[in-house]
Amino acid sequence: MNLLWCLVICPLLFSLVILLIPSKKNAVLSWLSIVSVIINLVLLSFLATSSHNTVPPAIHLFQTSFLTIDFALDSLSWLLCLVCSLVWMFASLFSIHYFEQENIKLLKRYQAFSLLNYWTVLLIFLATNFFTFFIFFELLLIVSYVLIIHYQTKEAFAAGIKYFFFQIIGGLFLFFGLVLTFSIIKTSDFIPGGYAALSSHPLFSLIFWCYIIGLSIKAGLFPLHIWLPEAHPVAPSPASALLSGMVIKTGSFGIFKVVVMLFGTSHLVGKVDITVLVVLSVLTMFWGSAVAIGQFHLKRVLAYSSVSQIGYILMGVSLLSPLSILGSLVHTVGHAFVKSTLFLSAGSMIENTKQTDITKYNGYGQRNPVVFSAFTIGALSMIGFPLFANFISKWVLGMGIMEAFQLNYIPTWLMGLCLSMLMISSLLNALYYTPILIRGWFYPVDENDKKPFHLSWSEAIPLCLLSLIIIALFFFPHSWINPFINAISPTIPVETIVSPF
Amino acid sequence: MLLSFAGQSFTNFFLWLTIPPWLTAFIFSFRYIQKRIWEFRIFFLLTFLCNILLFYADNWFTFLTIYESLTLCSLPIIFHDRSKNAISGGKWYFFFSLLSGILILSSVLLRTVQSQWIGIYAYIPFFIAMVGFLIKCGAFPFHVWLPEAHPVAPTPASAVLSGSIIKVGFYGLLFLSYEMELPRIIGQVLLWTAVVTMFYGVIQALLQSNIKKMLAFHSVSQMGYVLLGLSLFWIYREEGALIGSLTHAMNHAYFKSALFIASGIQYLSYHTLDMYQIKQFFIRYKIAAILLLVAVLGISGFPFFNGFVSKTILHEELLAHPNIVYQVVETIFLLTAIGTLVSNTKWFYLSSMRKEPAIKTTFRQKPLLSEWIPLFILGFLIVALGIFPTLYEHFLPYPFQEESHHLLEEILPFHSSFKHSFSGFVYTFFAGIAFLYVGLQNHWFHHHLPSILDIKLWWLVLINQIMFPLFNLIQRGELALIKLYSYGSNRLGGMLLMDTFLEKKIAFFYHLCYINPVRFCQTSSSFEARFQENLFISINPPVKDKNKNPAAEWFVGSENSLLTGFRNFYNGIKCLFSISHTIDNKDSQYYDKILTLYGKIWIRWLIGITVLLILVFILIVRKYIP
Repeated sequence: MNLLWCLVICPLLFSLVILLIPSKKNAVLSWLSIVSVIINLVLLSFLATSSHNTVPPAIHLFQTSFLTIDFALDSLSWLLCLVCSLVWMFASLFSIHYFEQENIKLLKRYQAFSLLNYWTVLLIFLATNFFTFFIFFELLLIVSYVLIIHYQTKEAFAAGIKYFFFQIIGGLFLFFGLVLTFSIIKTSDFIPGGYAALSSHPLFSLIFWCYIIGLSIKAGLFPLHIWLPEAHPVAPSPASALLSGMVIKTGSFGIFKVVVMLFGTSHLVGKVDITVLVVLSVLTMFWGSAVAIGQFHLKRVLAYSSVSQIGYILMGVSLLSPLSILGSLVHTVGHAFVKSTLFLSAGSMIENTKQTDITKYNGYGQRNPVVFSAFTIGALSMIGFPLFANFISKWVLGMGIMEAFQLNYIPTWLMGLCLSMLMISSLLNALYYTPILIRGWFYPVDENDKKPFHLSWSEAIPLCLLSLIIIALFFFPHSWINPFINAISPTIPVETIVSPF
Repeated sequence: MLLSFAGQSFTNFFLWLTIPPWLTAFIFSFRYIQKRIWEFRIFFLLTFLCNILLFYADNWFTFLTIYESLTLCSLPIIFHDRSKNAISGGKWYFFFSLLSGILILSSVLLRTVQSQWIGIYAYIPFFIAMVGFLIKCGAFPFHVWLPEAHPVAPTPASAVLSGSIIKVGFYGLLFLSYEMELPRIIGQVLLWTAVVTMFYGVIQALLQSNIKKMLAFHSVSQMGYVLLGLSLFWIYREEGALIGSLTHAMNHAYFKSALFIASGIQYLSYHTLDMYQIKQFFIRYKIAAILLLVAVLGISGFPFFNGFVSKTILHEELLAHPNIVYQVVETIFLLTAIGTLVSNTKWFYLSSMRKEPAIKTTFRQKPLLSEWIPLFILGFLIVALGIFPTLYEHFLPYPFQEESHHLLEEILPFHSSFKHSFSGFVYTFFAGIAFLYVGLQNHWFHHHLPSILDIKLWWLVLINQIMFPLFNLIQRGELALIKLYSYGSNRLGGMLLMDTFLEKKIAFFYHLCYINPVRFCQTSSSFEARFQENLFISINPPVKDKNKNPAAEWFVGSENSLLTGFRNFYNGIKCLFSISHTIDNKDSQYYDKILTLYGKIWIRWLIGITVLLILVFILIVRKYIP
């Protein structure tokens, strides 16, 4: 119990320390945030065993007659917190070099708010009812806004305001859904199996779409993804890695929680609304990849790729079969590691060459092999090549589609659509990633200066570790998927899950 | 499913098939590769490892993993030259292999729900996997990547690509065919694919002047033979046909890698791959020329050389079914054999036997060891298997050994039935020599196929006229979506008249964010300051020094970036499949001209014909569907 309190308070404390410390050295600020995340990782490792208990460690912050703010660390949230902490640690490590020349005051704000982001995302993963989730989801909007506008250029403000308005509208939808939920079931606790009263209510569609729209604005579902490719490129690279790696995942995690633990998968089967959601997420998968082909700004390409990957995740959730839900969680993790690798290495590429155009990285691989190898590993993983993490998650997702079809959750045409789009999206990923890779490795260097770029240890270490993680996740799928199967077993009938590995 | 490796029934056979081309090409690479030696060697050996491990794959997960790794590892050796043409040729290979991998993956996934379907639909997963492997084999409509990738890759790479890597597709088909009983219709589909593949390949090969391109088309055509045997096995479940196709796959691996290595030796000494410019090869390099002749005789199906054995077995399997369909197939089979003989003999004749004076290039009498040792190893295998066909049965898995013993014994030289097949060859030989003589006199081999029969053009039309417009449409859709939002937000801002001034300000601001950030940048907005103030974020002054700011260099205009995006999109995709070759620049001009002149008129015809074909196909298929 005390450990959980420590876990929750530590990042908050450190962000205050960062704001107040009278240090003039940039590295000190970055190290403070790394230390905070590492402390949390240690705390998480201590909490590992207790999270499997039937009554997981919990915090009851306050309770009125019906509004409660509760957190609990069950095994699923433990896993997600672990992934979140790892990604944050690597991004913070990377920021030591990235922000070497940065204005100290701006850096102070960046690091403090980065930790606040971390804190908020952790609490979102720990929330045990939708009210708590909602509060921290809204808080996340404000703290992540600061990361987006970090450079305070006109473009950053333009993208930031777009982000802000989109999220505000999403928040309104969520609030409306929350009020309706309270009026019907008088509570918003996440329970295994969900509430039958909610799914059989005449206003079901309204509530469902309020939740889905509100959450998918954060996640970036197809018609609501417009803010995402604007916001990611303007943010500093470590911040975009965090935004794309973890922050937008809170939206998809929210949809997972709502679908599985508020409505209940068994109550949603066969509803038209969920079929529409499947079609939308499949469309997102295709749309994101297809638009990314036409982009030329490296980070915009990566952002559109994120849109497409969110489509995979939401498709997994909305297919409702145990394996597909497992697949979506697993893909969340795989994508978090891979996309942060890509954004961090893209940060180095942009910083080294002072170019953002994807056609300007000719021969970059020869000048900075470590960074470009990490980028290559990330890109190949995104395409879904074996030997890298995302092949496993795509495999599980594919099995999930098949299982949904076998359980008669979806008709044949929808199964065909999902499967073909999963495959076509992989092919499209190859269409926009391989030209970058081929240019980087096989084209001659454009400029006269052919000297290798300086590589700082704080760039190399996180990139190498992330690449190793991506490869290790492929070779040890058991160690990765079985914990997830155990973690979602209380909420989903586990006997139907036959581990695909 | 996890990575697991175990010997399969065909592992032994495929190891014998795979290792000699890899070994000889590796030896040859010591002479051929002069730049970036270690990069080439490392990736060459990695690809070799993948190729070997593939035959030990114990489940589909392992198979796919190794299959895709093979594609990935072989890319650096194909791109080794680093020229634009090498990269564009390699891209054809890469994307077709990727497509094949994706089809196989989806078939593996669909396999889990196979029991849900009844009748012919139960074979959908099988059919998808079959198409995937046919892409890797280089079967008819998907063969385009072979003649693109082979000429641009360094010769040792093309030798293994053609000798070993395309056999992976055949291995996959073999792997599939033991998993279930197949309906006849699938065997028929494969049969006609094989027939078209072998005939089309040889026709194209006859018309090439680039040696490596010719050899690539021969690979297509010879894979047609291999698939023909496999399809007969699928239809009738006769082991003889399977033995024919297996032995032909092995023979093809040997003589094709020998031919590629010989073309590499010619390239090293003449610095050209145009067969009409290579003269007096025999006088300069006696050993190499003789070994080249051995390989040419092998591929032509000359008695006492290995091609004869497998072609005879396949021919006899065809004759075993006296039926009008198989008579047609047999005719095409013989025509293909004649074409193969003509085309390879033409190459040998032009390079070695012409009496014209040599062009003045450096004259080198003694070829290096690394040049003729690989040729010697392969030549030895070709002759040994031709003279002692019973050697094959040691490679084949146990259940086939008895059957193959009977079959192979009949082809032993001076066996009673040998005379019959030998006389069959004699007709082919004289027909081929006559054709070669008349063809060379009348310049038949300098023509192009009519462009409607050029499959590469069909693919280019598919990419240029269908895929580009589709993606263009999506780009426009994204732009329209952005405009819709800005319009909607503007309207919305006007409607919510709570605080008119603020709302209008917000709406205007919001509008500008989407429409024109530049204009927005120039007006110093008090709203912006207020906004920051309200959120407590204006702790610090804005950054003054924009030089250190990577994001400042980039501009988030939604319209402008998207419009530039279109341009970039076109350039990017065109670059992906750009049409040009190292050796044959005329070729690229030819395709460019055709695409610009006829592309747009053609597209209607092509679409019309395709729709018609699909309709006919559906009509045919419906007959077989219960």
